[in-house]
Amino acid sequence: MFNKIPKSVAIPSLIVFLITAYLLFNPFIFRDINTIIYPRHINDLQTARNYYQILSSVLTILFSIVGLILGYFYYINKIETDANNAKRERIRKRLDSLIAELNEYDDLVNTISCLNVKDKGELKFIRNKINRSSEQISSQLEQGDTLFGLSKDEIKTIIRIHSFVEQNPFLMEVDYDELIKSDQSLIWIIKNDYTERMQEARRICYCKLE
Amino acid sequence: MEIDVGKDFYHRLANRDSHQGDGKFTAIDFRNRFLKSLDNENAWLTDTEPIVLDFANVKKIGPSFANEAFAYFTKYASPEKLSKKIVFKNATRVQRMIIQEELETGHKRV
Repeated sequence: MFNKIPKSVAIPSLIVFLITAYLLFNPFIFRDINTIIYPRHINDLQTARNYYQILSSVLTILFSIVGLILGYFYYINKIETDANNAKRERIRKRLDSLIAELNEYDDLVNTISCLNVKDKGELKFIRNKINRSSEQISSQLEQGDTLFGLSKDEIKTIIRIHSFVEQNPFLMEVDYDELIKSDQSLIWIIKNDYTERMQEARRICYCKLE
Repeated sequence: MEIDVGKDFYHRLANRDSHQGDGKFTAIDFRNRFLKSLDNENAWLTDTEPIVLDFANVKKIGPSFANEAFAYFTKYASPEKLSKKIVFKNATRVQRMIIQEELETGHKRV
């Protein structure tokens, strides 16, 4: 809470504390050692009462001022902390949304790469959804690149997923009959390559979640 | 020369060729229509006025479109030189990244 108190406040506060401690214990210290550094002689209760009464009044004013200064910095610090928390929450929500969209995209690509497609119509429908999903991811990155705190390279890593998928004829171009008859080893290679890219994109998002 | 891509061509730049998507407004059509003058080696040897492509009205650009329309020219010049001949005006940050990514990876089909 007070971790951001500037030295200009912390040092005077420490000095005030030391002076206060000195003044409080002054009558009891050095009495028999050196009378020069002992400024006043308290020989009776009345003198002591007067001394502490004056000391109390002075310290009350002094502490009030110090309290006000510390309160001011606490207030400033609190506003900053609240703003940081709100920003963190916004980042988390946007990242959650981005991760959900990446998951949706992944499911759709997996449907094709696992050949879990019934007919031509469904294949066209899924490819269309993949394109829509990639647009959604792009627009999210567009709106929130600074808020996500993603670097240029990290955004590129996410963009590369669709670049890979869209330019892969097997995933996005060949017709249904050709897709079903495709070489399984080729599918396996494409799947592995794609999965690595998607995992990397997810890792980036999860890292930003903290 | 300045081209308002969204108005003069189409606002969704998605299809590489007639085999992709609905097969309309393809990158090959775009290249032949607006960038034909750059499709020869001599065009890259001389310093001419850049072709300015205004993306203000473009809603989407797909990687395969960018690859076929722009990365196609990486056979003539480096991405840096290409970016001087073809200027992408008003493209969003992500659109620029998509184009740049394709220019860096190069043309993927012959």
